[in-house]
Amino acid sequence: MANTVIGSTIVIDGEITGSDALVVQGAVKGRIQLTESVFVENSARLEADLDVETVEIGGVVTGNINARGKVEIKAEGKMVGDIKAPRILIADGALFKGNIDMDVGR
Amino acid sequence: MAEATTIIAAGTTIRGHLQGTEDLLVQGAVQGTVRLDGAITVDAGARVDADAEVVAASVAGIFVGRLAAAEVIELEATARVRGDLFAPRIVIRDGATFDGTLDTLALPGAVPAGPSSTPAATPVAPRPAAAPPASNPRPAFPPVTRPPVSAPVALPPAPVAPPPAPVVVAAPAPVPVETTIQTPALEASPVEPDADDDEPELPDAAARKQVVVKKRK
Repeated sequence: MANTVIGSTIVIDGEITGSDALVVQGAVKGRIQLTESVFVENSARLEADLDVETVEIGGVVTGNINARGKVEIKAEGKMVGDIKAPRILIADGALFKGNIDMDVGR
Repeated sequence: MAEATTIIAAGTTIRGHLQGTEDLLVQGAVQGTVRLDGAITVDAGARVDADAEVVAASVAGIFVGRLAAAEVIELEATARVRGDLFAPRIVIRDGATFDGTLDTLALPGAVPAGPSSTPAATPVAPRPAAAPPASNPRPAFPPVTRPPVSAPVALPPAPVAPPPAPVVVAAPAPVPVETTIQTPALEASPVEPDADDDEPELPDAAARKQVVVKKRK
């Protein structure tokens, strides 16, 4: 399936919804709701709430993440906000501030 | 074209404001406003409901709204378009459907060099005046109408900016009541022989203009 790519010079203020994987190199402010994965590349800045399948963070994310699969914060990644996901990876060097809910009580 | 091309894939919808300085390919849906220093391509099967200002646009899908391009808009054979289109060059291919207004003359200053070949553009008066300041590659769009006349007029005196010696000699000249900038230029010839023979008319006239300005202050 084709990916949606938000290039490095692009700024979106609003909402992204859909059923394609999303690669963000630019800036997105608002909300992202996908049945697929989001790849936040190093150059990307997200100020958004995410409701997606999986998230891979190499850039900067401010907002809350609700993922049905995996959330991975890579070494270059920076995340401020709450994460709710069954699987969470935080690499050595990654910056994170917020709460994590892996729903272990269920 | 910038380094990266942004793609909105077929299953993706973006609502809100999108801006950037690269090319955008829409295969899915975009609703809202688009400000792009690049080209937008609306693929067949894509739908854009937007107020869009771009450099160039190619529409093969559905576009509803306002589309202003600094260079060219092309409606491909599969295009379904409703709204207002503004661009110095607009192409509608056989098979495209369009409902709305077209305007190829509404972009003062938006004709950088190349597109001046447009036959419809030449007879219009404001167009040549707007063409010289091509230094600004991304000029105003229809809603922001600048007075393009002022810029070209101001250009000639520029090289003579420093107030030269003839200012003193020129001072008596303005004694006759001069209200507009044009009048001193006209009266330049009678005073000319007295002042300097070497200087061309233009700089001298420019210098006298400056004196007039000072006296007003």
